[in-house]
Amino acid sequence: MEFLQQILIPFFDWELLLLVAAGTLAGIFIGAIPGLSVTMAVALLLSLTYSWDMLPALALMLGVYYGGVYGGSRAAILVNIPGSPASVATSLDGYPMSQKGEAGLALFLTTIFSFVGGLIGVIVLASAAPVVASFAVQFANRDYFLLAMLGLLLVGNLSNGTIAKGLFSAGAGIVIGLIGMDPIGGGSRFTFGSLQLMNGIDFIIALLGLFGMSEILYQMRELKRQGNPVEIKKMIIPPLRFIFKFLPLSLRVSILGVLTGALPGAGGEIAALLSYDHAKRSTKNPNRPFGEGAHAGVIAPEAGNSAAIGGAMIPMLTLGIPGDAVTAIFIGALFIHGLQPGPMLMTQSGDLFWVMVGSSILANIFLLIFGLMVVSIFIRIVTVPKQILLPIIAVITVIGSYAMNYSLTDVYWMLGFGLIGFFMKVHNFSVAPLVLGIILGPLIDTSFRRAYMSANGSMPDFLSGFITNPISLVLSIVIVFTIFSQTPIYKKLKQRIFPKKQQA
Amino acid sequence: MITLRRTLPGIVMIIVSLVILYQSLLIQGTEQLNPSGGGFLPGIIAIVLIICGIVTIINDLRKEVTTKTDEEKEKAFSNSDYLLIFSYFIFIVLYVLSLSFLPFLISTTLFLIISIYLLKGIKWYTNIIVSVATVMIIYFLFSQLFNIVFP
Repeated sequence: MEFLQQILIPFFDWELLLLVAAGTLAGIFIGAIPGLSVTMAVALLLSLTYSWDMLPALALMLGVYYGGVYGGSRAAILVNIPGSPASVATSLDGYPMSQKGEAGLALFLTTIFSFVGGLIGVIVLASAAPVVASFAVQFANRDYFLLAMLGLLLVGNLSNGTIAKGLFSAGAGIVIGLIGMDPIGGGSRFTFGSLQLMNGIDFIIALLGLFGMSEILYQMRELKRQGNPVEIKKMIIPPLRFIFKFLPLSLRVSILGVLTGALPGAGGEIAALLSYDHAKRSTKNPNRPFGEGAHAGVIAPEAGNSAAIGGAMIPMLTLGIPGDAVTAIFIGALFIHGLQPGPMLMTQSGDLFWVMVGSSILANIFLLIFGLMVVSIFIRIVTVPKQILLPIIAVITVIGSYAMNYSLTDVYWMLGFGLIGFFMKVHNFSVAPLVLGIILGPLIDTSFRRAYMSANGSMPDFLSGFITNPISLVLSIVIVFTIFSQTPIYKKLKQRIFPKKQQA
Repeated sequence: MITLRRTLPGIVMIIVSLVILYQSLLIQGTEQLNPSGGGFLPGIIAIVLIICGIVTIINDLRKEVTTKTDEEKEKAFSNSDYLLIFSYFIFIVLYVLSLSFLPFLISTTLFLIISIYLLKGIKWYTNIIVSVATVMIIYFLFSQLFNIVFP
């Protein structure tokens, strides 16, 4: 019962309570503003809360995470511009609902079911993480290498653009992550003889550039494109029976969301799309056809993407492998505060895990309260002109990168990454695999080399380990299948076996 | 010329990979073929990256030169877009430069006012009110809450 006490800590510690509340509220607004992403906000917070204690910093970041994923749906419903990638699916039916005068109902439904989905995500996190962690203790270096590679492959595959470009991003990310001192051999790698690069590139600086500055540059040309806001009177509260009708669907998509989120590399965006697809196929008699304002069409993606948050935290806290870009930043936060994310985290600082669970529950409660309270402000928020928004984000990004080490050199690095990120976006390279590569690079490198050394440096022993150890074998098979599923041979086979499904 | 433009991303990918490969061969004190050395894994990655670059070039060349749909046209960046984006980027660099000799409050207020003015579409009094208010909020929020010492 000790863990119950720890879960309740954020509820009774006024500082944590306030921070979660402030984070959730800020997150909702950040998510609601098209052009401000949750990833950007959490990366900024990490740089700004550098000097804080760990629990307050994590509480604030968790609040922003939950609030931000939820907030994205506001803009999707009201102006048909998804505030974040995770709410792309919500706009498919959310905006048609608004056009038919049901904006209030759409906002209400998404709020309720984001709460439901988020809570289910937390429950699964709380019950699954300890099990996964106890299992993960058996993981050897080789398995960590395989798991990290799997995460990168999945991100590379699932990201838009071609597989070659996704893999390139991931590989380049690993190399950027390796810049600096070699932790095993002691030599310098990829420093081009520069002393400054010996300490490596701070991944937060890279993040701020890749997610913040590049986004500013990319959106510069959309200055004139603004959504047309719809009329919104007030939140419409439907009868309870109406809400209960959707509970089975929301439970199903929440489970789907958690599982998708828990896959390394697949986050809320994919969870929302899968959930939408599931709703479309399983809802027998929608009130309207999907795409024209079906109620189930806004409920499913929102429940799914909120549930994915809890799912994404499972591999992050138990294996040290991030489920998406935001959890990658959380891993960075844990590192900064002197913790080693991985299976030992649960045993060494179990209290931290339960406080995070508690904060997540709290964030969901605040999300419900604020979501239902501040409806009328949203329409003003989602239509803030880009001319004002972009310069302000630029200033905040500059301060964020400066605040890490109080050095203007870092700011120039951030600007450089911003330019790289911009060109990547223009040429359809996904930025997420690059970031994940930077963060996972050192883990991949050291676990690969340690695994080789623990096989006494003999190649046959090292290679046979991948097949003889059951955990490694399963991971290897999954990796091989992931690569195989991208080849033309697989697509031909699939067409031959499921010819009908392909046509549908 | 058109071929060069189409294969540019792939060529850049290959150049980057070659630099990585060369650098990983340079890593001192290790035999290149020893997997526990510091240069083995980056070398392998560089080779994979080169393959990715070649695949991208082949893909780009294979794509038939079709007339672009309206959506694609809208997605593509025009020269005037690039001009705006790069001039704004240079302006941000100038702002960062100015931080080293101007106090934070002054340079940031100036940056915001000039930015919003240059990006057009906002009335001048809204501009000034928004800029000054933002700088005040940022300054107090960040210095009080996040204990940041401004340059």
